Amino acid sequence: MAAVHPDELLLALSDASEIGLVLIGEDGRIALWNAWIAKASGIDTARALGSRLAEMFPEIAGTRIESAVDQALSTGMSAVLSSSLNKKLFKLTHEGRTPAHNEPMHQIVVIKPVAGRDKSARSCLVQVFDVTPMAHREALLRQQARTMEALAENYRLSELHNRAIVDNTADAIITFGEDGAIGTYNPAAERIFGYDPYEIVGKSIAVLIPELAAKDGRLRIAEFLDERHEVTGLRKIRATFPLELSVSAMELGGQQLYVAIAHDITERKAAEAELRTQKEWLATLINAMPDMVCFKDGKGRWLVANQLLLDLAGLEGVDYQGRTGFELARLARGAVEVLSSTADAEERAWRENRAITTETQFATQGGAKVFDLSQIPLFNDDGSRRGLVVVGRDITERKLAAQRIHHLAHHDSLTGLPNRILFQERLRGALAQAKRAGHKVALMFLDLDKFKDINDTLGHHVGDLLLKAVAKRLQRCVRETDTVARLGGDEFAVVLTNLADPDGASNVAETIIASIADPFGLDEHEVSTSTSIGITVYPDDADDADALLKNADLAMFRSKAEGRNTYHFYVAEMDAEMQARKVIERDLRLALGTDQLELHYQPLVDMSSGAITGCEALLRWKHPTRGWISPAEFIPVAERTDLIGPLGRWIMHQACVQGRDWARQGLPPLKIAVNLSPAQFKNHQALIAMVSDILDQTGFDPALLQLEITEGIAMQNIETTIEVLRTLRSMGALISIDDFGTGYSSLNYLKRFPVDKLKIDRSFVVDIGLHPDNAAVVKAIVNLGHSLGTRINVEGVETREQLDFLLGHGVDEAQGFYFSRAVPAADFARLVREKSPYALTVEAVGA
Amino acid sequence: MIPFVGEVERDCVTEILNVAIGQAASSLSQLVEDEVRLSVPFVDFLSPSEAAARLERETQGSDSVAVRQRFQGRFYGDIMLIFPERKSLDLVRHMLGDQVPLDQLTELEQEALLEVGNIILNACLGSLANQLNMPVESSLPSYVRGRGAHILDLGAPKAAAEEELVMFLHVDFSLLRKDVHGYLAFVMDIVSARHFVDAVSAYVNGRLGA
Amino acid sequence: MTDKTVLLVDDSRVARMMARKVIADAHPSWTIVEAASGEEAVEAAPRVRPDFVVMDVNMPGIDGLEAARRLRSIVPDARITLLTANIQEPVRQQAAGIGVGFITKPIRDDALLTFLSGGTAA
Repeated sequence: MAAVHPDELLLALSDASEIGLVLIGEDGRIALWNAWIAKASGIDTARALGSRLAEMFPEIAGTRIESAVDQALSTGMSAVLSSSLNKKLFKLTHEGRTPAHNEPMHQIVVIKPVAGRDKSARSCLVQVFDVTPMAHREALLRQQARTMEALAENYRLSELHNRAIVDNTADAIITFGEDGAIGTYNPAAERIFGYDPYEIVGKSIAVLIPELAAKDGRLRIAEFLDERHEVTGLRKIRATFPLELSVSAMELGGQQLYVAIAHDITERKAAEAELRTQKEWLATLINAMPDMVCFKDGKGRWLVANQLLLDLAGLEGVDYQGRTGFELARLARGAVEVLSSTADAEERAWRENRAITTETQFATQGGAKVFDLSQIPLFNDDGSRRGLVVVGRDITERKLAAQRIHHLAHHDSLTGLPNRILFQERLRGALAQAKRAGHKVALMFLDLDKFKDINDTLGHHVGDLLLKAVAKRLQRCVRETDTVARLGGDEFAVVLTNLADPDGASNVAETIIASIADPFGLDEHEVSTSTSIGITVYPDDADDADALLKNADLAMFRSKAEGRNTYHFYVAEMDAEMQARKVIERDLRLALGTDQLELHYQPLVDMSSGAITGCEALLRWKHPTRGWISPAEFIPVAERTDLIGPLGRWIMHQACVQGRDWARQGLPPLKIAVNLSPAQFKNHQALIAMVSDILDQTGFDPALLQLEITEGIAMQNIETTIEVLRTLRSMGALISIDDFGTGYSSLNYLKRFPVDKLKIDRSFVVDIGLHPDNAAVVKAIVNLGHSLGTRINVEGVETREQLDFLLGHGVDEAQGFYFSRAVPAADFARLVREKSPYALTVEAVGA
Repeated sequence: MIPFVGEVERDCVTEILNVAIGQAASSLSQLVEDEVRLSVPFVDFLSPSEAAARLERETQGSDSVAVRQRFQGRFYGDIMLIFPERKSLDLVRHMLGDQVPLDQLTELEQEALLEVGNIILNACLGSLANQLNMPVESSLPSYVRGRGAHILDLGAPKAAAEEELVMFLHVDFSLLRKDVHGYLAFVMDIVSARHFVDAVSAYVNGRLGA
Repeated sequence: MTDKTVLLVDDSRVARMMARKVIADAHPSWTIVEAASGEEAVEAAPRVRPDFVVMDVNMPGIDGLEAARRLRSIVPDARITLLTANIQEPVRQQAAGIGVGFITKPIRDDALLTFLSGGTAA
């Protein structure tokens, strides 16, 4: 064989190749363009050789093919590209069977570097594979897969549908052959008969329904075909049960096949039996019931009545069926009202289509009875009257109980007096009646003075006894037609009716005051109390109940304010006073936190040295329009509102800050006494927290803080007081009891009080020269205090005489105008610097 | 794990590969015309058996598919992009917009996956060559499917296998708003791996002027 | 020319070292502060008050784009550039939206220096 030139051989081979081959030289020009690519691209080899690839295929400009070829040439990277991923590859044609079948070629392009003679010079081989047939095959495959999937889905749905019916029906569906052998068996059959399919399939249907087989064992299907029959089924557990069976025959694949559909009617049968039982129960029940029971037909004729009704009506032995109540009333020997009185109610029950209940009272041998008779209408489907159920309940007991409850709801359980509810009813009634008759009505409010003290000192038991006794006395003070009510606590109200003039009311008030003033003997205690009364008169003061109630309250408040044990009629000014208090409250609210409020300080003078050892902080209010307002006017207002909290805190904080400042100014240590109000003291936890907080905040020495409470506060709730005072003292503060001598301190308690100082009330000092009694009291208190180890202070010292007296009696400390009134902080500091110590003894010696 | 590299060397390799994978993601992003996010890769140097066990564990013993290319230069070996099979099906079908549930990749789909792998691997290799300024050539990609050990098996004799090292990277792509996690593995023999690490260190040290 | 402060944010120590070298060689007197994560950068920025921020994109935790977004409000006057090998169109648009430029990885010295000289980031 003649030698072929290698280039020719190469060309022949590449042209014979079944793939596209393009070789791109290191200069980027096409060096090989085989026949396959020439045909697919329609560009002949002569034109392609020496050109650049992008000139042959302008569509590849900027695509991945271009960069892949560059990379292969420059860095030796190989690349694969397929038309699945790349929108633009070479524009080539896949040749079909006929030109009409030609189409764009689906291709895979492989780009490979080809090493040249020396390492740096690389060519690039581009191979193009025509995968159009493969793409078609895969498209077809996908299409088939999609179709299969759709079919499978379709089949699955329809199969599911059929199975769902067979599986979910409540009836057993069983197929069996001519020989009785069971073929299929659905889930309901499993449930009903208890066999699993594998246990029963192939066995005879007669295992489940024995009646389907004759004695000789042969099937007798014919008699059961196409008609429902009640038969007996046999469960796996050998229990029999009623079945409703229908059998149908069909032919399937040339074979005779039977389908048995069996419905378990155990429940229906049981229901029928149940119904019979219920009838018996009903008869037993209505006779055993404590209620009267009667069933009537649509015309009111009796059908069934229970024994109780027959007994009460006296119908024993009477043939009542088919007769109306009226007819029976003539035959009855008992309470005929039961029979005759209900005709109206029956008619209404039907007409209004609802149960009608009436209360019927009648005499029986056992006494008067009250029955609730209910007529319950029944209707047919077409709306016509079908019948009536009558139930009569003996409510005699309930009526009595209701009366008792009504009494309880309207009376106070302790005293038996009308309570607030009944009182208001009575008051309104009295007003209505007075209006018609042109009379007057007086309304009195009263409460017991210092009842709380009695309760606290003698106990609630004694308190309750006192309230009962007071109730009795009050009732004796008024007429039968008047009302005495207990409104709660120690508050009572009296309504006096048919009054000709208000004098009648004052007479009654005086009688009451005198009556209550008589000591009460309660459980070995002799208890004295008094009452404060407020009176208002209809129609003089007001003509409606609410206004009268308010008036009486205001009038009572006045009586209490004026020293108790008295009565006041309502006068219009009381309203004005209340208004004034409201104005003060509003202004005080505005004054809080402004310089309208300030503390003044009254020196406390040590009676042995004459030095000012401290001061009492006293609140002063300079009202922007009214000027100085007395604490006596606004402190009670603050006490009754939420203002006392912030006000009390402000005072204590201010005092502590002031005390600290004096210390910084170089004044000697000065005790500052701060008064605690009852309202502050009552909320003792807040009080303790506040004192501790303020001491922390201000850094004021607690040993210089003196907290003053009045004897009155101290004596309320003694155990708690002791506890609170101990806590305050443990924080370092000093405690003093103010206004000492005016209250009812028991020596016993006083001993236990953790107290540093007693302040003798100013009332004992005022006329010390005139009243030997007062001097004796002061002496006694000084001795008492010293024996308990507390210091004694006297306030209200105004004259030299008083001072001398006190000096002579061992009082430790004094305050009063004699030394100085309460002055602003700066003035006080000057007093300490310039006046302290006061000369006490020189005059004392001279006196 | 083989204490093949020091901590600093590993940092250098990580950073170099980080950049390389970043460029691969950028190439992929151009192809799919969508944002491709990727996790920060962490590089482990493992023996082939360790790498196989790691792959087995991370794919929970199911089949993976891999696109593998040989690379050649101062350092040489195989670089492979590995996906769990399920993910590769999702990925390719999603890219081709065809949701027919065939069990395996068809031939054309395999070609498409090859191309995706080719793009990523070339970008990665290209970036390495560029950063280290040394030529790296790559062969055509091939397609492998199987379990962890099979995927990494290069048909080398057992004795030689112990002379090999796998530079193993777990990479999470977030692609076409789907999470596709894959692995990138460089399989090199010890000598080649040493060349690679040295080249990286030299590059970094050069940059640091050390 | 006054001395500036550069905040270098990259989880890769090596990458920070390389960037620091380039900056320190060109501007020996500048202050260079490094942060290893977006969180660290956000935390440090009010203290450091950088004039320039060079921020890697692909980091664990909050990524560079998000960190740059937060830095924008903390140090509004700082010039910020992202550093990434993975420049994609959607990311480029988001960065442009918050006025942040790009420098490609691997870093070319001239690109980084252009950015630091106040020219436009590559």
